[in-house]
Amino acid sequence: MDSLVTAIEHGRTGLDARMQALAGKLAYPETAYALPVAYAVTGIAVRDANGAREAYRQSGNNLLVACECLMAGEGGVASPYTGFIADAVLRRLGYTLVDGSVTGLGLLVGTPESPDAAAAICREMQEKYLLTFLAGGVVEALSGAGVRLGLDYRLVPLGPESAHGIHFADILARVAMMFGGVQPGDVHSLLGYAAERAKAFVIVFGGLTDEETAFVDALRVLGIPILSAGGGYEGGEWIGIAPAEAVRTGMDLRGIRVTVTAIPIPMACSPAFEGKSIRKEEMYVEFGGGRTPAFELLRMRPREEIEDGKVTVVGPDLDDVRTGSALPLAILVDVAGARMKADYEPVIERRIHTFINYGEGSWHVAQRDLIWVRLSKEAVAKGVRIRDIGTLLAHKLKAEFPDHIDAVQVTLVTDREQVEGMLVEAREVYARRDERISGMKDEDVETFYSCTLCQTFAPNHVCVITPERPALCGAITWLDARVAHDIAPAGANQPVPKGEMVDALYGEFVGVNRFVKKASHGEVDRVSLYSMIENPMTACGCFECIAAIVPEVNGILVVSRDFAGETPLGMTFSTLAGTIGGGAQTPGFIGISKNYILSDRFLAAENGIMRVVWMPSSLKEELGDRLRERLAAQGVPDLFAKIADEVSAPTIEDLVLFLERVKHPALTMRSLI
Amino acid sequence: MESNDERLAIREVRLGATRAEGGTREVSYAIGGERDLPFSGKRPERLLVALEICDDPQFWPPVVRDYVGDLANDTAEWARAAERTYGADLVRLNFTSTKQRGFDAFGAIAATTEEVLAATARPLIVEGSNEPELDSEVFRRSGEAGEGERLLLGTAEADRYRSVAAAALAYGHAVIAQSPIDVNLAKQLNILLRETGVPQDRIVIDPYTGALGYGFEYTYSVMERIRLAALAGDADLAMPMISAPTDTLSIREVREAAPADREAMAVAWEFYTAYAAVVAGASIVCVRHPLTVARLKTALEG
Repeated sequence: MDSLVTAIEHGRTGLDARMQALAGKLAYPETAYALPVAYAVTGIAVRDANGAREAYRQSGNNLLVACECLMAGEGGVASPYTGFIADAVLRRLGYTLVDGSVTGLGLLVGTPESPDAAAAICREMQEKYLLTFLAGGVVEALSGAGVRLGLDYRLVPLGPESAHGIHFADILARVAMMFGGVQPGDVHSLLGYAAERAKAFVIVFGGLTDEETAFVDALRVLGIPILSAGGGYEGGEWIGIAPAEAVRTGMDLRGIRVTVTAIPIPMACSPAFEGKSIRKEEMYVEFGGGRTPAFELLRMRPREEIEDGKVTVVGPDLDDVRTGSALPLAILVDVAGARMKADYEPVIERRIHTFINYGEGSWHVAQRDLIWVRLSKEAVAKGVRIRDIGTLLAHKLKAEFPDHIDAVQVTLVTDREQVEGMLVEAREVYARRDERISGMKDEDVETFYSCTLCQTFAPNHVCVITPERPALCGAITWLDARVAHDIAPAGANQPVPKGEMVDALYGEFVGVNRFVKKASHGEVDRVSLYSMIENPMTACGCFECIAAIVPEVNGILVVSRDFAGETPLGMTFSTLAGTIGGGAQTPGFIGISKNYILSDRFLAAENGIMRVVWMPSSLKEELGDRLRERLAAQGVPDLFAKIADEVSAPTIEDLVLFLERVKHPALTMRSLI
Repeated sequence: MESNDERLAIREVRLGATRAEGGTREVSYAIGGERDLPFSGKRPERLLVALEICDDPQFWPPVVRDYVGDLANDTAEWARAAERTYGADLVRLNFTSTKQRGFDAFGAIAATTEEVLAATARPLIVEGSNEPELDSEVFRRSGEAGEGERLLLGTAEADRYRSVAAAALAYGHAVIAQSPIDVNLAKQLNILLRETGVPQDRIVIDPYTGALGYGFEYTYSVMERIRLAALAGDADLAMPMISAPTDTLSIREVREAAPADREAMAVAWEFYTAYAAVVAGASIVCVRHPLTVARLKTALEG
């Protein structure tokens, strides 16, 4: 057995024996929580030794309960030590924790070999906004090294013995009851609170007695890592560490991060600006939107390949272009993080949209290689440059995903040749992401996911994302939504239990209807996932494509965002988009993603792909082989050639003639209307 | 079925605490509990009018200063008059002193809170600072001074809600959650507050408003949508609402009115905006001109 485990066992035996011998009244001053650890763990308000033994027994002989009861039996401590901290003072301390002015809690116990090293640790704790408690020889060592102690310095000397560190546990217990709504006796919530909210770690120096060792070890039950910075403790679950590494390690282990809230760019950045657009007249420069090639790509990289916070601009910046110009743009975001996964890439990438819209003078629509970004004249006049988009993204990504992203660097490319080169690579990445989902069927899962990311623009719109029907923006598949829910459980992607099936062909489910009704604020009662006529899904404005009925030929046309010309309906994409967006159900029209066209469930209620009579050639080309395969699998390999485009059928008259000539199956199907 | 269950009602929020409830107020209020749109079903028990006062009148509308005179220099007396002379249901204390450059008189925050609590027996609404850097200390001091009194603390916003939430949690108060005329941001803020640990029955939504004729219609729609969403089952929006049409006293029609008409114009504008907010579903309206209080009370009781 190793030495630490032996010491802990000895300590346990000693504490146990003292518990049995304990006598008399027990109380802490100025608290409504009796002996707080015992009270929080068992619900028993301990008043005397017998109560203490009962609480100890009920807690399963928890050593924190034992140490607390034993400490309550001893007298207080003299100044400068605080001893037990009264409720009124603790409320103020807990306040700073909820308030965010304190990022986490630390306990330093034992006697450091080098007072200077301990002083350095304290300085670092102060710099990182940690509230530090001290117990044992470390207090004298720090005073000797000239370190000022006290609440004002966020260095709280609990007592001269390491055993006084037990007050750290009663502080955590009371904070959980005061601020976390944890009920006395509810161990489960107590542990949950300690693990998630009260982010704490312990740094141990040498010179602990066996009982003190056992006490410190017992703190682990609260999810508190024990870092041993000297003292020669070996074995057990303690983590040996050099003093200089202690604070950083503790913060990493507990996910404590100091966040900078103000973003150093010359424009305001807040969700309040998210819904506003920048009209053509107000715009200084734009990127993408059909005028220039533009895309965004977020990738995970090894930590060492990223210089955190670095923003690079390659190509001309705004000083080189005139008002009203268009520049190409590649937004390349590299992120690293201990808990980052490649699966998270598309989900976090989708947030680029949100963050750029947070900027007072920046605007962003769509996603992937369809993005359209504008900067306003006003913002540019105030000094905003392309680089600021990168700074904004780097800050927001770290602030919003503190658990997953440790470092971000952003490269913004405005050089056309380079952007075009990178675009090829980006499209390969998009294709690989899309492949992961292929093969999954809606009947394979019990839960779909929602997306209400766009409710800032279209307040009642709800996307329902299924394995066979990606979000209409094309950027979030069912897998992505599941991951997004993992990352942000209260976020815009919520699980939607399918519930009982109402209609298999139309894709109507009781659970989906219930969810949509609620998420659309009561606006939409029923949704058919596979129909564009009966209760079709609502649309925001981000759809990759629009499918619309062409009554004259009993068919459906699909037009994609990048096609600027008129469809045979006499309307362009943007005219159609204006009719169907905003969160309304518009029978006969629907916003969809490109990949949904290839799905078995594609508008199944209207005979799916067999009804499609027209697509712009660019879309046909893009879907290309995948569409041919899909048609071959359906037994209609020749249908590909029967789908008209803007060359073969620019107008409705041409379309009628074309379809009759090729004998398109839609002409003889049951009437759509 | 869900249609008649508890979740479809607006949550009740309790404000103020009587001696029996652990405070020192003569009266406490429960706002919320509605199950219908305003005035379409059962009329709420009472609609509350708060009179706003402040601790540094140099930052207060001249038209109010002219009316209250010396009272403006004695915050406690002003609070007493709000209740006894002007008949307000609540007093809303604004720490305008924090607008002074380099403000650091935090001790005065606690003292003023205590004085005002002693001067009026009505529940108190306390507005913190105007500076994010001061928030933490101001909310802690005022929250602590009002412990047990179930204050309504304002104002939480999306990027500055932690201090006010912490004070509410530490000292048992309720919180005003203000969002810029946007139903989704209102909901988002309520979720943030919930995640911080503020119970949902301690949140009052302030959807924010401009003056009537200066964009109030946007507020009206948002209030309507918040209420409709709540009644349709959205628990994160099922809170009572508060409205403070403070802009009404500084609009052009008031500023440029002939001196003899200015007071009447101010009161009229404040009255009609506040009344419209009640019609839109506000449980509490906050006004600054004492004469508006009486006018609202007559209209609401009539």
